[in-house]
Amino acid sequence: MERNQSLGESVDDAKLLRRIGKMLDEVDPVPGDVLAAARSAFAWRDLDAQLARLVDAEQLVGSATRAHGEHRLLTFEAPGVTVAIEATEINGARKLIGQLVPSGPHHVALESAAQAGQSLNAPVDHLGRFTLSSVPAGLVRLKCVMPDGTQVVTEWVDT
Amino acid sequence: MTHRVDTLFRADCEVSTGKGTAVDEQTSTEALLAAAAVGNQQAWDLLVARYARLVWSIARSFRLPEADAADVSQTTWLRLVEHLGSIKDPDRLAGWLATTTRRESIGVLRRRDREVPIFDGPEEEDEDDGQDPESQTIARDEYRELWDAFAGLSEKCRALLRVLSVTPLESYAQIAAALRMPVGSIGPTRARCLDQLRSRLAT
Repeated sequence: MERNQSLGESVDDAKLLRRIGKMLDEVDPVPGDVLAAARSAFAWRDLDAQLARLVDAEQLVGSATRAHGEHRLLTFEAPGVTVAIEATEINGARKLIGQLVPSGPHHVALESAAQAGQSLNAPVDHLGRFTLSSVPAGLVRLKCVMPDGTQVVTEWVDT
Repeated sequence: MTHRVDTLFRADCEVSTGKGTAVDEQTSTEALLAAAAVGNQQAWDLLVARYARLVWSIARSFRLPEADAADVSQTTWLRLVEHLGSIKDPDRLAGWLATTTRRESIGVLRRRDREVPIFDGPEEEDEDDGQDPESQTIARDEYRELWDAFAGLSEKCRALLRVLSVTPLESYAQIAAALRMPVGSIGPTRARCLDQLRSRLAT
């Protein structure tokens, strides 16, 4: 096959590559807990929710008062709704201040990939603003229900 | 496991796939994707079994320590759950996973303020700086010779061979694109790296 030739495939090369694969399976196999985590990721599947994709992530720097803290702006978009979040981390404490545009939902829930089945809830004011403190490290996502009943969930993000 | 699969099924999927839809190791990636997209945990588990080595090999080829590679792997699989509905073509799946793993790996390196190494790096053989997750002793004598030869290759060669050793030939183009390698260079580079490995094995 022409394609195989262009890829330099030869029987010897294929054999040697297979041996490397076997060796790596021995030396550096995918750990069992990594496989288990990959399988259980499926439990986070959320058919009914509209996915809000991360469209912008901006690292804010240069603010003297926040010299020792991380400070980021994250923007998520789903059809009909934008979720803007300002994430701060000061002395290891993570906090989110956000706004839903348009406003509507009365509260948002924050889920952590490390803690299935639990969520952190915060009220949303009439302008769509909310605050979440004690945000866990690692991947989190926000969920809310729009007035028309549509569920919106953001992509996972490490704030 | 079985009851878990059942609880994850939703009423609306049972109509389209049926609870008894049989999937196994022989099922095509395309069919597994379709079944997973409507809630079949077993199909998902088979996808994980099929591609976990690819995801892991890419994370490790960025010289991520095991804990970071584990995080990258979990993130990649969570992202696939999010995007399951939008990936149909099985060839695209390997590329999509490779792209996502690469992006997440680079993200971890940036957060750690570490250099982003490899695929476009030099091909010269480099000194072992002891940072490499690959620098560990092998208990198994069976692979010692091969391992010693492999460990002496350039970082670029080790990374490329590691990833290609778990990549089916038909996915090469996708993987090359995902790793930002010119598709035309992947074959020749692979041949060169394998030749270097062979000459090291011979000495």
